[in-house]
Amino acid sequence: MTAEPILAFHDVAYGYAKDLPEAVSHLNFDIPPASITAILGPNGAGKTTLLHLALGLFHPRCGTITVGGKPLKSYRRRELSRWIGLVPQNEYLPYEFSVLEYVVLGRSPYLGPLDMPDPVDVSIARQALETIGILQLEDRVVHELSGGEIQLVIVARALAQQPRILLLDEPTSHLDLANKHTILKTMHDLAKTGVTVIFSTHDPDAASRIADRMVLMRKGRVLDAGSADVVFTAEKLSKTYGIPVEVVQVDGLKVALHDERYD
Amino acid sequence: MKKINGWRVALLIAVPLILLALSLFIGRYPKPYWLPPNLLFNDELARSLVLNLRLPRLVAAFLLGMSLASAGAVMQMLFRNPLVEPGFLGVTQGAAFGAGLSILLVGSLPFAIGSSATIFAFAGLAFSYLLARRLHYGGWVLRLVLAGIAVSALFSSGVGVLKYLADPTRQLPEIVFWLLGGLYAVTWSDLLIVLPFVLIGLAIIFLMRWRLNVLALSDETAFSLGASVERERLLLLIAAVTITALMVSIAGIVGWVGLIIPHIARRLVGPNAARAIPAAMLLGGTFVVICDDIARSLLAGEIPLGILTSLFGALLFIIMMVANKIKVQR
Repeated sequence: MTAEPILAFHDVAYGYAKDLPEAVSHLNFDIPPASITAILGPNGAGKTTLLHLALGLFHPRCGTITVGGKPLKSYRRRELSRWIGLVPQNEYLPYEFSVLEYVVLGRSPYLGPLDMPDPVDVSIARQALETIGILQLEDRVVHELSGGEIQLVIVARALAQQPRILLLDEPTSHLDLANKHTILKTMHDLAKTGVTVIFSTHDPDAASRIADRMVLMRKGRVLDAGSADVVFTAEKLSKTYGIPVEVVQVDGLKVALHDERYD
Repeated sequence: MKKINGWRVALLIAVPLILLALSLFIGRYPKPYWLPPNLLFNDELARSLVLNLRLPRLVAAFLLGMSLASAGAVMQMLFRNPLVEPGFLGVTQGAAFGAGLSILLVGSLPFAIGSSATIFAFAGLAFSYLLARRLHYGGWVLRLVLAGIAVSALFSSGVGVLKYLADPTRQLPEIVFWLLGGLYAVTWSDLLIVLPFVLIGLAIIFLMRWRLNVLALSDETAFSLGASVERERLLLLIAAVTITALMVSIAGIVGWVGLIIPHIARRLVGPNAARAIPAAMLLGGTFVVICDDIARSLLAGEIPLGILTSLFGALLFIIMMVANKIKVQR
C-alpha cells in the first residue's frame, strides 16, 4: 500500500485561450509525499504548463487536480501558497535587494496584504538560508551573486514559505556541472526533510540522479508516469525525445545516451 | 537585513518638519525673503497671509511632492522599470488638455480649470487602460506602456491645437503658465476638496508598501506567494494614478519629481519598498516645498514651479548618472 498521494492529476487538460487547441491533455499521475518527481521531456512538451496547473495559476479546462486529498479549486489563494512553493525558470528582480530581504518575501503567504514581516519571519528566512548552507550570503546583493548562488537563493526564498510541495521549473538548465550538483543535492536533502519535490527538466541525467518518480511528457501528453526504475528505459526515453536513446549503468547510476555518430 | 543608519532616518523626518516651519516665514512680505515671526502677533495682514495663503500652499506643496514621488515609486516597482513616471498613462497630458480646454471655453476660473483637468486626467487613464485591453500581444506591462504613450501623444497634440486656437494675448500665456505648473492659486477650499482622496491614496500606498516588493516579482512568483496579483496591482495603480491626477489638477504639470525622487530614496535607504516608499514621500514633499519656496520668493514675480522642479530634477538626474548611482539590472 502506498501513502495517499499529496498531488494527483486526473485527466487534466488545459488550453491557453478558448479558441486555441489544448496545450496539454490527458494528464494523469499521482505523486506520493516526500518523493522526488522529475517531469521529463523535450523542450515544448508542456512541462511548465503542468507545473503552472499544479500551482493553481492556470485553471484546467477539464479534469481535476487534488492537493492533500482535496480539490485544488477548494483552496483559498493564501492557503494554497502555504502548501505549494515555486522556483520559477526565470526570476526577475528589478531592483537590488539583499539576499535576506529577498528571502523574507517568501513569508508573504503568512502575512496579509498590509502586514510587514516581523522578527520571527526574518529568523525563519535565515533558517532557510542556513538549511541550504548559504547563510553567509545574507547581506550580499542578489544581483552580484553567481548564477548558481542566485538559484540557491531562489530555492531558499521558496523554503521560507515552508511549503509541503516544492515545484522547480528547470532548476539546473543553465548551470555548470558543479552548481548543478549543488542544486540537485539540495533538492535531494529537502525531500529527506519531508518536502515533496517536483521538478521539470529536459535533462535525463538530472532526473536520473535524484528522482525516484518520473513523468515522461511529449507534445502535451503524459507518455508514462511511475517509479524511476520502471520509467527510465531506453524504449520509453526514445519515444519521449523522438530519437534513439540508450540507457547504460555507470556505477549503479543510470545514464541516457544518444547513440548516433556524426562522421 | 540591511541596517540603515539611525541618523539618516532622523534626518529624513526632521528636515521636512523644520523646513515646513521655516517656510511659513519665507516669502516677499513684509520685505523679500523673511517675515519675522513676532509679526504674527502684531500684524493682522501677516497673520492672514501666513494662515490663508502660505499654509495651504505649503500643505499643497508637501502633498504634491509626496503624491508624485510615492506614485512614481509604486509605478517603477509595478512596471519593473525605473524610468516610468506617474503621469505616463495618459494622466499628465490628459490633465493638460483638460486645463487648456477650460481656459479656452470658460476662461480663467481656477475651479473650472481644476475640475476639467481632473476629468481629462481620468479620461486619459481610462482611455489608456481600455486601449491596453484591446491589444493582443505582449505582457500587461508592455500593453499599458504602449497604450499610455499613444494616449499621451494624442492629448499632447490636442494641447497643441488648443494653443494654436488660443487668443495669443490673453489665453495662450495662461495655458503656457498652467503647463509650467505652480501652486500660486491654491486655497484652503481647493485643497479640502482633494485632500480626503489624496490621503486615502497615500494611505493605501503606505500600508501596502512591503507587499509592493512581492507584486514587483514575476507574475508566477507573486502568485505562488499567495498574492491576488491582478487585483492588488490594480488597487495600487488606481491609488497612485488618483493622487497624481488630483494633485496635477491643482498644480499643473510639475515634472521630474515622480521620476527622480524614487531613485534618490532607493539610494538612501535601499530598494526595499517598506523603506523606500516612506523615504520617497518625505523626500518628495521636501523637494517640492524647497522648489516652491524659491518659486514664490526669489523674484518679485512668481517663477513657474514646474520649471524649477525640472531644472533641479534634471540636474540631480545628471549628477546621479555620472556618479553611477542609477543601476538597472536586466
